[in-house]
Amino acid sequence: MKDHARKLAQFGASALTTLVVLMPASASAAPGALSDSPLFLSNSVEPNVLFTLDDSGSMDWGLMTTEGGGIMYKDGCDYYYAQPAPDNDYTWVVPSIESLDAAGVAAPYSGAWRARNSDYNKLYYDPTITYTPWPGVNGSSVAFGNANPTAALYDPWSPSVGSLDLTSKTTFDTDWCGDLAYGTVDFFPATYYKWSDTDTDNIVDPDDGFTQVQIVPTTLVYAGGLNRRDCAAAPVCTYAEEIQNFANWFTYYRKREYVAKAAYGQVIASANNSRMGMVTLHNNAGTNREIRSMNADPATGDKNALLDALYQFQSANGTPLRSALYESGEYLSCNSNSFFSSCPALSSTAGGECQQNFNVVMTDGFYNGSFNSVGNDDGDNDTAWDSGPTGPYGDSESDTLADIAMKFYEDDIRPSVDDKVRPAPGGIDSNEEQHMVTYSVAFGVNGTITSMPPDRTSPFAWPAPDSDPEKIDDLRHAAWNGRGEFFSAQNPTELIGGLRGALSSIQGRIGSAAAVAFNSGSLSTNSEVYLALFNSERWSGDLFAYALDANTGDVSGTPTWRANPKLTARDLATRPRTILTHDGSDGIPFQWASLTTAQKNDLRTDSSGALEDVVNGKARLGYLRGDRNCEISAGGVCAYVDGLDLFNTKQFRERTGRLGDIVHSGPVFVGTPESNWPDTAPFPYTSGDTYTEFRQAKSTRPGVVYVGSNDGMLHGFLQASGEEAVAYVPSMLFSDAASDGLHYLTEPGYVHRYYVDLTASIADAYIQINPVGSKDWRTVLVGGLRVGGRGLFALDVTDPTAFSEAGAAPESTVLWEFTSTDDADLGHTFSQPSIVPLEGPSNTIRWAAVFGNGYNDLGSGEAQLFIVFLEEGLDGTWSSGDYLKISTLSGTTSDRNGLSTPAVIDTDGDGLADRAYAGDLFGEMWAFDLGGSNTANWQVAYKQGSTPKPLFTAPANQQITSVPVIVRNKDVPTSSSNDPNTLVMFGTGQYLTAGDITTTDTQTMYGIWDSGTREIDQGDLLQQTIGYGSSTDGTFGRTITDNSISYGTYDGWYMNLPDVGERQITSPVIRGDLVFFNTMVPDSNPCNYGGTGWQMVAKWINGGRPDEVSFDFNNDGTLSAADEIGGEAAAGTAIVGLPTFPVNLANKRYTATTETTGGDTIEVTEIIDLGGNRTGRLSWEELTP
Amino acid sequence: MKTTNMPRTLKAQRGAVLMVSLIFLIVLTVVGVAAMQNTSLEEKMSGNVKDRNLAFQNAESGIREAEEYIEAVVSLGDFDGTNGLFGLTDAAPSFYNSSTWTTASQNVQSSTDYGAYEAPKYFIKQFTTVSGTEGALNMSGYGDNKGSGDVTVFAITARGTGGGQDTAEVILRSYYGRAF
Repeated sequence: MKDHARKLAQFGASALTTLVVLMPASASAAPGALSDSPLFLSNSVEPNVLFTLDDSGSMDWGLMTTEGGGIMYKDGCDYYYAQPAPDNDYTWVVPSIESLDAAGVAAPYSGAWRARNSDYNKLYYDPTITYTPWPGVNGSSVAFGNANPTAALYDPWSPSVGSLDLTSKTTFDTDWCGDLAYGTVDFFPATYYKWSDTDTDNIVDPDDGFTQVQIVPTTLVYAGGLNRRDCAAAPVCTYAEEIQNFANWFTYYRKREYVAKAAYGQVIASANNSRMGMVTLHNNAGTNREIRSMNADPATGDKNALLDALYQFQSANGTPLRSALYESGEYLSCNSNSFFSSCPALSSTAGGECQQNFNVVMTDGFYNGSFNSVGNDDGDNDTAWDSGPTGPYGDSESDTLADIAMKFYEDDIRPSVDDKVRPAPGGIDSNEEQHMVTYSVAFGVNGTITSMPPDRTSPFAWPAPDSDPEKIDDLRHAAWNGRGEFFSAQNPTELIGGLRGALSSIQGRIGSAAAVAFNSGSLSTNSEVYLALFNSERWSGDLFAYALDANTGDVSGTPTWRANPKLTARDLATRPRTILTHDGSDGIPFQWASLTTAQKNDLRTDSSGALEDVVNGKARLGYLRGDRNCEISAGGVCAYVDGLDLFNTKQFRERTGRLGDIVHSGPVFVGTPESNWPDTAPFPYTSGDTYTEFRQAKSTRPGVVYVGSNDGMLHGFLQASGEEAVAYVPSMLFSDAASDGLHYLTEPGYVHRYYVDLTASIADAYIQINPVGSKDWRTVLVGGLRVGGRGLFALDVTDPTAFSEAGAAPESTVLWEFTSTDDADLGHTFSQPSIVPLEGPSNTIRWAAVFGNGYNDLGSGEAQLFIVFLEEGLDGTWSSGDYLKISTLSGTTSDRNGLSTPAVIDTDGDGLADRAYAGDLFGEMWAFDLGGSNTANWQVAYKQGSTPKPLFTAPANQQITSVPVIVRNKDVPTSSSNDPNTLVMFGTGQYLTAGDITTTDTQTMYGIWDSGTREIDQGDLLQQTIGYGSSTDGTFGRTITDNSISYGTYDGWYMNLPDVGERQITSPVIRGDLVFFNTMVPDSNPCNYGGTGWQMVAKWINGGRPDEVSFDFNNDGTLSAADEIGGEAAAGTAIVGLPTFPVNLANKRYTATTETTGGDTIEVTEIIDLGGNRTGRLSWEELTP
Repeated sequence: MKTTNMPRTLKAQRGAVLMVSLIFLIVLTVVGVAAMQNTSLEEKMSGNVKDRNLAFQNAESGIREAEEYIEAVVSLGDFDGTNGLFGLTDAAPSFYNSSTWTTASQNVQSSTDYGAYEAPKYFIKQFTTVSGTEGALNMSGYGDNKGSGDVTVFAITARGTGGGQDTAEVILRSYYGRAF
């Protein structure tokens, strides 16, 4: 058992938001291919899932009843089947009623009819269920299709076994014990019986009433049920539909073994991100299959091989389940075992340190055989995971299934690797050592216990496994000890449901804990924190609202609401969603009738890129709008009709909810207007128009949290309830190319792509949005897509109660879109816009969105600043003068540059923007002059002749991908000789492409003095050095030198980030004289939460360490001398997981990381109080009436 | 005959002591009563001064408590127009309206009364935002704050009372700034 303590020295920092890479000298164009899935998950660890199947002889049977043994008896004779077949391993088939009639046996035939009634024989044809072929392909690599009613195969894998014509009469030899033989009377095999409970005892008695139903052409209508999705007129079915369904049952579900194959086939076919294998008790047909990583397509690769093995296993012999469970545990432990000689575990560098192991055990009977290899492992109380013989886990019995499950749970099955297995949510499975989790499924058999113990601390009397039912209790006990779940499946539907439940539970354990977004505004204006997480298993996302204690700053661990469950539970019939999109010129409802032809064609596109019927497009639209009935294996009715076309195939990608993954898009809360625009000219100042009045008027509007999701939409959730108020599908996401566009989201073979992934920018602007109206204060949202696409969209979110798909609402809510079609120089929109007022002619204001062109554009490849005027896109077109772009002329089509998020500032305090700073992928920091009303003068601030020059150029391989933060240089009085006298602070590094995880170029934190001097480089700067040390109580962290700076001698400062691979890709935050910033150190070991990080603080005037203790370094709740390193204030502390940017709220610092799983795992640190001018008591008076 | 009047006079003078005594007594009584009245008045005056001072110190104590609350608060989420905390867009109550001080939702009451008839009460109104020490210059929108250095100014209104019911009442207001 190796110690799993994470060493502080390994900590590095990292952030989630970010950037691009760039290597100007490299032959390939910068920044390279942007990753289509979160980099910190790119090596996510696949769990081992081993299926331990029962292939004992009973699995061949065609009966499953509640009688002892699960078959039928008459006068001491045993009957095993309801249908004759040449490959039945046992002899007797229950005779047909026709045979008994002919022999003079009177009704009710000793109950013989019950063999063909699904209430009694749970395996028999149930007309309320739709039977579908096994997933995957047969031995000839042809997909299993509907069975042929006139030649229904006995064994779908082996056509050579023969077939039966279900449409004509057949006969077989049998005997009804004690009566005569009736082998010569014909009957229709496609026959079932309806049962009526004559004595109302809820038991299918032999003498209860019954009705024969023959599926024959002369009977035109059959009772089905609402779940008969194969019937166009469900709940009733035609003869053709009914005989087809019966044929599918006959071929694919007739025996216990076949049902198991169907059930396992479904879960294996839809599996992804996992490693699966299969072992059987006897390996009768040589079908055991080692654990391998599952590819997406069931028809190829290791998934196909596993399915082939599954479909070929044969049932025979006894049930030595205990030794099979033991041997499979040894296999997962990489010990010598009877199954395989290989080791299924991943190596420690590939994720073995945190790999999870699951064993799913299924049996249809009561185990036998001898076994004595483990003793009483669950009752010896030798670890924290078991108990004494009377405790919650133990008993006095030795060598039970429960003992075996406990052995492989409590033992470190991989003692040679570090132990970093992540605890499962819920606290049930918190063993960080490698271990085996046992799930168990009992098929058609019952124990004496009907539920699990109520808790895991109280003693529980587990029965000794002496009788047969008590052996099923032991199976349940094994799942309890193995921290898995137990499923009792009494019919085929329950078996499929139970297996799906087990796999779903496994997925919940492995996919959780991913990324986090955190929003400062939501903290300061509202007593809530909004946290977005996603689960990579099925790429579902969720937005959590957590209460923030206004007085202590603690974040609750229990969410106030969760958006995904709310949205998923929403009844779309009574409360339809409001989803909008854009048709190229205006906003429209995201409804079929409103979409353009090109948009419809996207939805009609299949996985190969071919155009399908309109009805398929409508079904995909329904899926995107939230209809989950057409997902693979969904319940409910999947039915879309278009003219004569019907779509009813459950073929769409499975989701765990309606909300897709939220990765880089942070939630933004919009409630009471919170800007501070002045009420003086040039801002509106007349009564009725002022910002103060707008703020007052909108103070009671419903709060909404906006967040982009990779389900293709930007969502707005009501702060009060978590219900979705609006969603928007940017039109640039539509594409009719294969593996692209919105249709790709519906494909089972979907591999993650980004859609709406940029944090939205939202601000109040005084604009005219109605051509015939007047200017008005509006709250404007401008969103982008990051890797998801090249385009931006603008929405009017002033009034959340106005969101609607009806009437003119879509047109008035959607302002405009701006895409690479409008200007090819617009790249992937990584740059978050600033919505700011700029000076217009005659003392007016022009409101604009200011942003960099982003990465990988299709135009010139130059880094450019865009200024898009908010009011100019309302007419649906972008013409000259509607927007400006300022090129830096840096970058070419063969080596593409790209401008990152700009910082827009007001240097003269008049409320209007007049300067912008933005970095690019070539490591250049640009200044843009936006002053004055003449847009011709809005230029790159520094030029040599007419050639734009940057303010600063970093050394090679230092990309600037985050927004800089700007302060006034207080060391030097501002004058005309040093205007604008600002310090521009930013870090370097990129975390955008797969290769970025392992780059080790030295990255740097900079503070550059913009004093009118251009082309500064590192040689002009004062260097500070980051060191390491410990506080008096042993807390390990960082210090920084405090070299004094003389501006004039130096043009700023810098400090190199010393950890290997460390970089800074999130924005710094200013607090008084200090700058707080978080750095990240990506780690390719997938067990390390994507990497580590450092939470840093420095004085921004020179980059040196703080003069006094400025944060709670040793985490004891107070700022004291114990927070110093060697007598000097500490400057950095390590954090596990890649951190986001710091959020400072009063004297608390909040940092979320890739390790954050809930509100209470957000890192909270006490920081120094912020004093300064105009703080404390400002005035005092006594009041008299 | 000549002498007959003397004794009569003497005889008549024999009651002057009583008269004088009575007069003195009256005078002294008047003086005494006046002195007592004065003393009583002065005692009332000093009691009132004490009550008022108590009320004043209580009001000041309420202000101090409110300021400490502001210094400690992390989020303004509780400034929602209830429990004596009023946000930027909430209407603050009138300080001379007696219901302000008797309605629990409109004020905060200290836990200690410092010998006053009732403990000091106060309400805080988020008043405005002013620029403090200049911080980050970045222009921002909703939910975006790079550390501006802006100061949030609060108006604190506190009422203290004297030692007895309806004896004295002092209402103070201070403006207090904190940079979050």
